[in-house]
Amino acid sequence: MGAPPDEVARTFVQAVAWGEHHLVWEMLSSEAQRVVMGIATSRGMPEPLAARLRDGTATQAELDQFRGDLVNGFRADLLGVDVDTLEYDVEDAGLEPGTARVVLVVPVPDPVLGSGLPAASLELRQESDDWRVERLVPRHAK
Amino acid sequence: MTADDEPDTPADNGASEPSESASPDTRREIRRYEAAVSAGAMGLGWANLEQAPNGAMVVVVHEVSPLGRLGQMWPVPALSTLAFAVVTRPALSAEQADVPWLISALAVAEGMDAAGEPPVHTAWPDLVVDAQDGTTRAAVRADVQLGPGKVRVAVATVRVDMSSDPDPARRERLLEAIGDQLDRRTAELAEGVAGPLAAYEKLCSTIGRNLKLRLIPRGEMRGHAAVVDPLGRLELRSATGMVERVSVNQVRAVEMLA
Repeated sequence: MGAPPDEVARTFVQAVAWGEHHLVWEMLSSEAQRVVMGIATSRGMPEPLAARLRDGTATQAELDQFRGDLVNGFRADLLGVDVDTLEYDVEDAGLEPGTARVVLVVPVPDPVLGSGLPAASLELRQESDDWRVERLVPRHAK
Repeated sequence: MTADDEPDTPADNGASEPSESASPDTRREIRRYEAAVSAGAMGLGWANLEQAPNGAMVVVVHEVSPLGRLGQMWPVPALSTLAFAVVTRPALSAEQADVPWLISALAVAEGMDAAGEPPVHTAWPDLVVDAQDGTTRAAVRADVQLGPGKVRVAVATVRVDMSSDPDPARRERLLEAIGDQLDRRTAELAEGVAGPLAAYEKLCSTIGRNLKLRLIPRGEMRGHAAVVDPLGRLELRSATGMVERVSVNQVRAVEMLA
């Protein structure tokens, strides 16, 4: 059994912050990888390049460019969030089996405002005993 | 170098009347002001309105507005600061407009070393810091103006913290040593940026460190500072090999991490 969802979420967020683009890609679920490729082609990525990325025949430069852009997309979703202070709250109530949601919470010291403010959430799915990232939902998204 | 003349009346531009001199060794043209808005402003004015030659130097005893990179105020009082600007006309393309920042910092570090000061390092992009404790010893600012496809003029403003010993003879030693290094490094740029930038990297305490960069207008970037590229940008590399290049004007603050 792999790491628990909150640890997976923490590793993923740190990988995004530190630009560990291959790790970020490998932590995505297979469905998330498929969706990312679909978005890339819908936004103008040439189909031959998409095919090379899917087949594993892309050059290192192409791979770095694609996965680097992916990381920068996640960074944009986390813009303004101090990832060093985040807390990771796992929610599993009401979710289908094999899925989990981790809320990224910015701690707030003022008790009137509560214990923290949600900055984003990560939806995870279990694949081969490991938790993988399905999607990152920023605070402003519905 | 000759001693300053005491100005009697301020000039129209808000600065005191300059005294002009030439360095006996380098024949450098020098203008000295008791007070001015800033050394950089006087240097830019000289460069733009009077075609100041390469190496022309402006020394200001009391800067009214000692602003560095991003308009940050130099915190050391004027009487404990050596403030001057040097007009340079480096052989650089427009894409290399960040390079004067690094050349200026390199010249300050090398000049301080040549003048017998305690060891210093550069800290990308604009600081010169104590090699032992990392405290700021000097800061630079490069005002770069472009011509068609190339750098037309770069005015390097230098502020050195003299609070440990404001001795006038030490000021003159530093002024000459830093000016000489800046002349030498600027001349080397005609042969390419590789040599000066390699020297910069060697002296740079930022290289080899894990960094958190706060960017303009928002956001941050993290990574391992690997090298400075030929355009003067800092290359950050991640553990998985992602490379990001950051130019001077993208950075709000640099934080070194353990």
